[in-house]
Amino acid sequence: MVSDVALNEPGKRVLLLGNEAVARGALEAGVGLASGYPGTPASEVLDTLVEVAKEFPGLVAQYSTNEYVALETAIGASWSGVRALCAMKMVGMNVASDPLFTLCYCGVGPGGGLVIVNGGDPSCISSTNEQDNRYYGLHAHMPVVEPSNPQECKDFTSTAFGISEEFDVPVMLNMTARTSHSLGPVVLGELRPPKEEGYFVKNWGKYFSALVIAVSNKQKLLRNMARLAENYAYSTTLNKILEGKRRIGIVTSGVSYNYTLEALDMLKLYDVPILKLGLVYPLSKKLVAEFAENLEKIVVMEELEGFLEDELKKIAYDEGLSVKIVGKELFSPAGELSVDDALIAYSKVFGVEPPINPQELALKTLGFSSLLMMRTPGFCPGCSHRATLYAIKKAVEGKGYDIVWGGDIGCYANASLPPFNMGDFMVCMSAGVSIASGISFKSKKQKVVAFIGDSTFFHTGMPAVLNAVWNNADILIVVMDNGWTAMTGHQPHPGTGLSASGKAKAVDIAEVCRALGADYVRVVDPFNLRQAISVFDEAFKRSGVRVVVSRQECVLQSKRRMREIEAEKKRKGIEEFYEVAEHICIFCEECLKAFGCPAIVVGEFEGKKVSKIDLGRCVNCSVCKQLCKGCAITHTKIWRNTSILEEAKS
Amino acid sequence: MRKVNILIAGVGGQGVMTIGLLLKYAAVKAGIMVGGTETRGASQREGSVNSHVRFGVLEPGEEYDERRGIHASLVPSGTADLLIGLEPMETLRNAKYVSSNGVTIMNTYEVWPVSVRAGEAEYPPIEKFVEAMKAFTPHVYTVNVNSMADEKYGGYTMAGTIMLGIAFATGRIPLEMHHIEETIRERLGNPEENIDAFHFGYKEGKKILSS
Repeated sequence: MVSDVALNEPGKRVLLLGNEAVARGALEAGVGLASGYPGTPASEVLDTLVEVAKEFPGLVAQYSTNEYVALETAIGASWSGVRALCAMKMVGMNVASDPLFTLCYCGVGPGGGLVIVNGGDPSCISSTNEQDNRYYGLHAHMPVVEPSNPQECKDFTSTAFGISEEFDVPVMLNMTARTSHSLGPVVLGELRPPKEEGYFVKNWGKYFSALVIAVSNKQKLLRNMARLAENYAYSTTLNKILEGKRRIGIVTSGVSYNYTLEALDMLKLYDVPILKLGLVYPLSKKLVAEFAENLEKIVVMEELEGFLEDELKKIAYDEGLSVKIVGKELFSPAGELSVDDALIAYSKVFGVEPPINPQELALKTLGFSSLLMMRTPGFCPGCSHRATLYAIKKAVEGKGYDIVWGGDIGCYANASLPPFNMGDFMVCMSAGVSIASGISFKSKKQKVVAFIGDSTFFHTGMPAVLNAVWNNADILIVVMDNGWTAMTGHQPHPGTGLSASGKAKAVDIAEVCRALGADYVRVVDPFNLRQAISVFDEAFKRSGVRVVVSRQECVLQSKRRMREIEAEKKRKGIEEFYEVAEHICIFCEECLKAFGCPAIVVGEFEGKKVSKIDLGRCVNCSVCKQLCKGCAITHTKIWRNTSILEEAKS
Repeated sequence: MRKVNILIAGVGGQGVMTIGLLLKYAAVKAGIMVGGTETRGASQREGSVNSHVRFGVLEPGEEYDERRGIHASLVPSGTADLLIGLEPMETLRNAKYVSSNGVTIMNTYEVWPVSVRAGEAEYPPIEKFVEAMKAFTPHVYTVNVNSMADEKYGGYTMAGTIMLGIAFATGRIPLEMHHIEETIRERLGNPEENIDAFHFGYKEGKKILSS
């Protein structure tokens, strides 16, 4: 629990999520600045630090506009001699990779360890790919540390700051969705107060990376990494060996270590030697050689690519080890692994019959698949995105347009699913706008639309819009402005009027678009259907870059505030709801299917089907009333003097 | 170490996460090993959700051995001692986790997917789900905790806590009743009503299990 993260009770055992434990580890290391951009599964690291920051004077915790800005901010703190943490999901690392490589050359500031938290997502539960960011370690010459449970998340984070300072290099803490979102016991350590005041000590030959300085920086980096690989990687307690007398050994790390132990327990194999790596890059040749000494075969269990497998094979070749090394021929590089995968692989490798056959169970479930309907994700009742999409659909209905719908990252990606089917591609943050531009340059017969969220707009959307204006693309950009970085847990963005530390300047997206040179910029309220439809109709008829900002707050946020307002209304005796006049409803299914609000269900009236509003879910957005063809949806507002009624009762 | 695995399945908003968290916090009180995770398929948007709860209980005189401990946060297939299903279809969706001797408690209250709500498909009859579950374990019990909650407390808010009480009555949860009561008191809003619902569920559970 977040409240346990700030507890000043060393030795106390609390339950923490992996991400919360990372935040605690940073606090125990005296982190002075934390930055990042929200992204599942990494979001809670920064969210937690933002929440507890007020209890730690001297800790600056802030959301940044995007990941490279976040990393650069962290670099500034590090170079001012303050420990800094930067958190992002794995695709965010691509955005941050520009400063990353040079940062590794320059190194960190004195006493300013820098830890980058990477949230990996095997199985793409909330991502567009499942890239393996351990390769950034290899590519940029950066140590990579990988915890396997919440206790290690905390401990390894603290340790990573030390490594960063000792070897003058940023350190990546490699998490996966499973480590981030596993709950487990953590024994708290001592909190270390953050350094309140930093100071940038000039060092031109270190920080001004170009030409010979860059090359000599790289040489320094390579020396440091070699020293780390030779000595530290051999002796560090981040790695551990579980002894065993078998001739087949296992090398693993992170969650795969957990799955390995559980599978071996199920197979009753307690004498298999295991090398568990906590420092997954660089590896110690000596450690590997010693582990492999009496082994015929090493099985490498790791999620995603065969990163450790390849590193081990390199070492085996260099050291002349005759041990056979296998990994990806047993474990798929696609998708998340589990105890089941470990059980299947190890039962084969060690020739032991498993007590349970996971494949058989999966097949058995498959046999009942006709009973298991998909629960397709959709928009919440009262979501403004649904209203925006419906308005666009109505605006183009019957016009015979051939439309390409460009998608982007956010809740509005659900536009690609029924009933709207308005998402033809989705790649990465703000790619919707630029890919749409590219299509418009070469496909003149099609109308091209690009959806983009408000937070995505500030993240990397602005250069994309500017580029579209500059090169005169022929696209309609629809900004789905719901006021928050909603999908990742409602973090604020520059348009919200809040920053991590409180009130902030609110930047208006429409104004920004005008400043970027867009001539046609309109703001619509999607809950005002007639206005929204007419604006979209006009926008489709024009050419060039057209921007429509569809603005209405995320219903989950407004509902939170409405709860108080609703309670107040109830106290004052006001009752308000929407309902279907059943005798008027012609069951045309426009509200039910074309609009598809989950608060509208099928009911029955005098033996015929009618639409019905589920009052428990309806949030009074009013859109269904506006779109009802038979005017069967009514808005009721009843006023009563409840205090008189109460008195009369008593 | 005796490993006890519990899986809770349902639809976002039914209290799957809350039941999982209560069990995990109660285990800390009981001083036993605990782990777990939640898988969320767009939980706020009516997706399928489940919560994995794993307990490790040292037998008398047993010393902790890492090789025999609780490490994975996910329940391995075929090992769940208890499957708490808050919705029929979601119970079956997680059937592969339940052990051949595990107990399944299935709430018969249906949460319709979009296709059923839109009248494009029909929700299969409950008997089909019971029959399918019996291919995994003979110990399948059905109950409608939503109507129980509605009858006793007016509304569905207490349904999850009643279900926790029924689940506790199976004896498969290696905790004492007071561990759960104390956790409810600390972690839930409206604790008195929740504890009452927990006791109510426990009593009803005893009846259901003996019938």
